[in-house]
Amino acid sequence: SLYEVPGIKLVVCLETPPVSILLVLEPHERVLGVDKSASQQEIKKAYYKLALRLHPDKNPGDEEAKEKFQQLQKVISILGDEEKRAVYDQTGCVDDADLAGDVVENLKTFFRAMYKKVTEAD
Amino acid sequence: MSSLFLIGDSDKKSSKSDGSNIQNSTFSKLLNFAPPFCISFHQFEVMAEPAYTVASDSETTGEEKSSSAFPEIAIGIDIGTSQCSVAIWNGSQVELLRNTRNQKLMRSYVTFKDEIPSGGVSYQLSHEHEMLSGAAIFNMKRLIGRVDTDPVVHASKSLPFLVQTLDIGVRPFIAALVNNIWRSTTPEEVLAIYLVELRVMAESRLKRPIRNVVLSIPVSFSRFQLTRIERACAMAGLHVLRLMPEPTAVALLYAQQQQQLIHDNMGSGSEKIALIFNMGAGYCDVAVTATAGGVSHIKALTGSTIGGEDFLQNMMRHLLPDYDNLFSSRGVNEIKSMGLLRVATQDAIHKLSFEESVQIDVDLGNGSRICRKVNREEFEEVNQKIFEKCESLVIQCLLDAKVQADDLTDVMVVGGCSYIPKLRNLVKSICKRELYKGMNPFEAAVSGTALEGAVASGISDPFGNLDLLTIQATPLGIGIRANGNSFVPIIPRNTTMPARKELVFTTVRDNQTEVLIVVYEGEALKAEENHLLGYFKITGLPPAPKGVPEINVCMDIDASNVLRVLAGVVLPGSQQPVVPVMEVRMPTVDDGHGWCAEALHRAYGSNLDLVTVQKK
Repeated sequence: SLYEVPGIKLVVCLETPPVSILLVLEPHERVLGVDKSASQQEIKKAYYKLALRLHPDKNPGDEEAKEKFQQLQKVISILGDEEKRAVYDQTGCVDDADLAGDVVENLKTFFRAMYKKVTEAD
Repeated sequence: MSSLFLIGDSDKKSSKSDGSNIQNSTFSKLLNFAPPFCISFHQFEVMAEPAYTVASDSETTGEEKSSSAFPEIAIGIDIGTSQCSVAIWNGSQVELLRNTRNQKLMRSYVTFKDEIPSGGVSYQLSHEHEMLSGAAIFNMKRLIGRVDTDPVVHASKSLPFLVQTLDIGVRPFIAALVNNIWRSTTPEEVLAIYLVELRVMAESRLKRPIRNVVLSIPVSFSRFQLTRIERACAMAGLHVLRLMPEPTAVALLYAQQQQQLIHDNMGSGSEKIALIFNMGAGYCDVAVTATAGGVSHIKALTGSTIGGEDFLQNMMRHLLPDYDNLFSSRGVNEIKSMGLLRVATQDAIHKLSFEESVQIDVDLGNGSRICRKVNREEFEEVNQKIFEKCESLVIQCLLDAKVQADDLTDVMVVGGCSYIPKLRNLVKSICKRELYKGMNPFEAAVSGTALEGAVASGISDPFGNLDLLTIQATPLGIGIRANGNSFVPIIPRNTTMPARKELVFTTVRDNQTEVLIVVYEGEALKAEENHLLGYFKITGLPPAPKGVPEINVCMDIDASNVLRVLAGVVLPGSQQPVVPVMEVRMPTVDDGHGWCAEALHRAYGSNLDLVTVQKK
């Protein structure tokens, strides 16, 4: 089972163990896939490998590198954080615009509130 | 008119020792009273080939570089308040370059004693006191890019050269005392002269021209100060590839060392969190980095303008309570006494890192003599506020990084102050860790800049030793003035770079046709207490009730740390901007920017104000 994050251009597959990364850049698909069973350490490892590959410093002249790298940052800000990942696991979606900085704190409550609604409706 | 020609004439004919000539050149220097950016670097032609000219970025050099099969490796430079060093990736490791006196660490000063100013790279001081005779300018890193209302500039007034302030927000007047004449200069000029010497030294060692450099800078430097560093480099014919906050350079060295351990099958590949505490003569910086796979991801940065210079000044005032009164006038004798006290105090502070107490005996030559014992507790007590500030920087950095002391794998204390026992102890106690022993505390920052220099030059290493990356974070928040006189950050501090963020504002008045966007950098809540970066107006807003137009201000920092501010206006229900979008590269301010903010405020008051739009 894979995560799907709207607004993200990367497809990342983590195979465990050992961790291997398959990176597919699909401008139209906009899907991030990470195996839900991946451990924090495996996600972090994948992140660092991807960062080394996607950072604009490593892709001089590539106009899209900056955007790709920023998207990777958005992904890791959720999946790299146990709590946020758990919230995300439960709600399954992310408000892209609200990921930045301090707003993330509010996001947690937002998610929780939303999750509550869903269970109530269920 | 005729007398001017006469001076020029006599300059050519007469010898230096001619007394009248000294007067004449004094006069001609007085004519050039304005801070001289126009120092002629052709003077250095005599010292080395090729000719060094103050030049802007030349297109041709870039082309040469890309056509070459071997890319030019940028050198790394650590410009310290007190000491400087240069390093380069030599193909297999980082190597620090030595000057002709076999020094790796060179004193940061420039003396204007002779016709051609010379700095600590090439010049041999006959004695420590020579640097303090008034003819030498030092601590330029503390002065560069600061206005004369800055407390750091005011603290620099006790240095044995002239720092004059008018306290109105313009650049301070700085001058060296040569033959009883105050010869004016600027921090940029002093730094440029010094950088030329470093460049000559590196070129003679490496036997090739040097153009590209990576420099380390303090965390607390504003973007305006960065432009001043770039300016000094350009004056010295150097092109800045990167400016790295000092602890992030150390973090890169750490990332490389951890990679090396894995190659040697001695380390695990898991993420390591490290705290770096870097304190030199002028600045104290802290970084928290998360490292794995050769990547150093900077999680948080804190920094302040405190350093060894403050320890020294506090101690001098402690030893000589009448210090400020005695040295309020700046004659040759006062400067000499000041220098004697400075050297003696500096020596004592160094010794107190290794001994419990030290005897000071110094004759200041003005009838006063200091002869007494000083012990370590006394030193720590006198400087208690500085130590407290250091503590708060470490705690704040951990907090900002959302890291607990228990999460830390390694803790490093580096920089010129790293042997002070109290500093080591306070970092150890906050971080609950012994200190990392794997790096030379005086060479760590410059080694990191050399690594970044190689990486940024596109050099690869067959053994993967350069598969490195620094993911930088913004050391200061960047935002605009809104909601009255508040500073509203758009890109908060410690945001991962490259970054792009936006915020929506609106008008405060019905039918407001113009808004003023004033961009600041810093942490203070009041706008004017931050560093002004620039300003622009958006005009031609269509008449609308207050609060209706949506003014979207977007800030973009690319991977090379270039900041662009974009601002556009839309009316509700439309996706199209009503006036062309403004795009401004910042900083745009020039010298005297302290005035600017005040003038803007006076001229426009609240007529062109903005408020943030509350999210629904």
